[in-house]
Amino acid sequence: MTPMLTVAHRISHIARDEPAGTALIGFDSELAEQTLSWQELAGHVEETAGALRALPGSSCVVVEAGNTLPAATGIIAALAAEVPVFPLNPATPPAERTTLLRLLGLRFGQVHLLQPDGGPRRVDLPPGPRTPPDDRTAAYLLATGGSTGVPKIAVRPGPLRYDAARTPSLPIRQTGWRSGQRQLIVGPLFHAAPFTTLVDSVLDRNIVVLQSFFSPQWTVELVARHAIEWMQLTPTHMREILLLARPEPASFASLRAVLHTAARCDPETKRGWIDLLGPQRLYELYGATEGIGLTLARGDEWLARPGTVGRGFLTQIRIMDSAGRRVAPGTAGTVFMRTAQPHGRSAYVGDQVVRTTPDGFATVGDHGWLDEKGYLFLNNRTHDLINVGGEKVDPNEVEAALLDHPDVLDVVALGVPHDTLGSVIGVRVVLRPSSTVHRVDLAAHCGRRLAGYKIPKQFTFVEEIPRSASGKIQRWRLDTTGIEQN
Amino acid sequence: MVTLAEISRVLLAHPGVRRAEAATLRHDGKDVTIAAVELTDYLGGPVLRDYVRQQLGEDSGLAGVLTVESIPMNDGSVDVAQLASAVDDGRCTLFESPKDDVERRLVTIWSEQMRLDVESVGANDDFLELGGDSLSALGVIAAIETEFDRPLDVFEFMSASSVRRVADILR
Repeated sequence: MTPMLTVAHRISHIARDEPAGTALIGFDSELAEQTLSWQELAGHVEETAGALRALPGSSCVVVEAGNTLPAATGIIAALAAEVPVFPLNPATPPAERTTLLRLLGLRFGQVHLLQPDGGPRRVDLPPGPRTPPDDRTAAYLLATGGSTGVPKIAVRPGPLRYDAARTPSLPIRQTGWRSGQRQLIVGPLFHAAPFTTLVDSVLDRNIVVLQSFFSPQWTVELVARHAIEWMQLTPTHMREILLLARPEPASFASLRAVLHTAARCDPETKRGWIDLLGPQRLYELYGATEGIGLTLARGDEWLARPGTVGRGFLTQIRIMDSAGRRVAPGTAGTVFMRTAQPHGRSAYVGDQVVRTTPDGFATVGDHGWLDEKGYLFLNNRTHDLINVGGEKVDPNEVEAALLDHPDVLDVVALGVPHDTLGSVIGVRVVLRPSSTVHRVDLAAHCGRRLAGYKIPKQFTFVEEIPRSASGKIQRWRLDTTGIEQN
Repeated sequence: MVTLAEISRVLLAHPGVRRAEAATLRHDGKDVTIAAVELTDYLGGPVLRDYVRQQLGEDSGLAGVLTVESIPMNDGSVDVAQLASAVDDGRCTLFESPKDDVERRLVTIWSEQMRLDVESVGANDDFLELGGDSLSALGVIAAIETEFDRPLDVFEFMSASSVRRVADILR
């Protein structure tokens, strides 16, 4: 068995072995490059972790998770102190921030916000009904798109341990990842993939470059300048890099692999990147939620079966019909997966979105089919979450915000195709007959309630929304082609 | 001889089991004992079958455990016909000994990599239902590659997933 180390021990071991080696590279607000050696990182982490360890046992800590050295250090410090950490999008509007902090307050006795000086400050939460504190320890918590119209929080059970055989996880190791590699983190640290990548890469002694915001030209420049070997991107990053930065294959010569996750990648972007890197350096990972199972597809597998998300990696896949019967290859149904760690599943605070079978298969409700060789293909579902450049937006949340306006009688939110983001939010709104409200007023109304990417970009006023007898919106009766571009 | 009630009692004592009923039914011209269980935490049927074997010894006679959402009942007792159909359609795996040398060598590899007794590994048991994790999967694959001197793909292994079906690939 490989030894398991606490995060604090692992960081101090690396700092002892190579104190002057580079751990993290980031940028300040003037975009001046800053470097932290392992010794410096270990020092900052120990200082902050000391303050966090002094907090009462039922505490969690919130880090304003811009892609900065202080944010990364704060996250690592919380993991070292074994205090559950929640990386917060610094641009979260006040109303949504309050909702998230209250959700955390339902689970933890105290919620603390990490200050710029590295110390925690307790957040005052309004008194409310208290559910009993959950006694399971959590390593970290992540905000996630939910299905009921309210922000949700996913929990990674803790404490986190370093294990050479499992950090990073086996599937990630399959995608060209090597210990000690130079890695660029492009996506925001408050998202699951960049967050877990940061944690894994620090524990696996990577040299990590944190791009403080996404700009396609800058990404290309950073890869070349720091001879980046591995990075994870979303399809939106990939599209924008291709369309706006127009890189030459030579600028990506140092890359061993690029992994993309999150949203579905359109075929044009996929082919563009295969041209850029060659089919053996591009990987796609489809994994519903941690612990349920996942598929991997390398570029050459995708070229042989365009559109596939790959075959199960240490994962068995079954496609089931609505009666729970297994269907034959080529037939579509609900995608169920079974993998080796049934206990590592992320739990959602206060809600269960995963459906399981008695024999250990689980699904988040995605639809698709398998070919004869076991390659999985996913089908689009019109009533799914809307993917705005990798951000999952729940149409119910947008609808709820608009229904909050006194002049809005009914509303439906839809994904509208968009060149670089994949889709943006469009809404059809039924107003009170006497209303004089304008589109701009509704947009401003949404702006006070929703994060920027959730604000509808297209407003269409209609007479009525098609609904079923039970009142459910019949989304399939709505198509997005007729929406006005304004 | 162990009674059905004793098997149910042992299963109920397992922390992951909420309800358990054992029954004897005819399968392939023989009487076999199987149990149906409702779980609080997911556990594979073969894991529970082996748990009973460890508690009650080899002569527990329990051939398989079926994991279900709710135990099928008929007139106040467990519905034997439903259990029999679960055995027939493969939802409930019965313990089977390895039938030849290839299977015996595979059972040895399974048991070493998964830290189980040789008697715990049935030839038809699914690797995941037997409690295999990702590291032991890679361990089993590496050991098979060495023992049989041929490459075995991770996907091939997980699709086959039992000693018997992996043996079919190797033969």
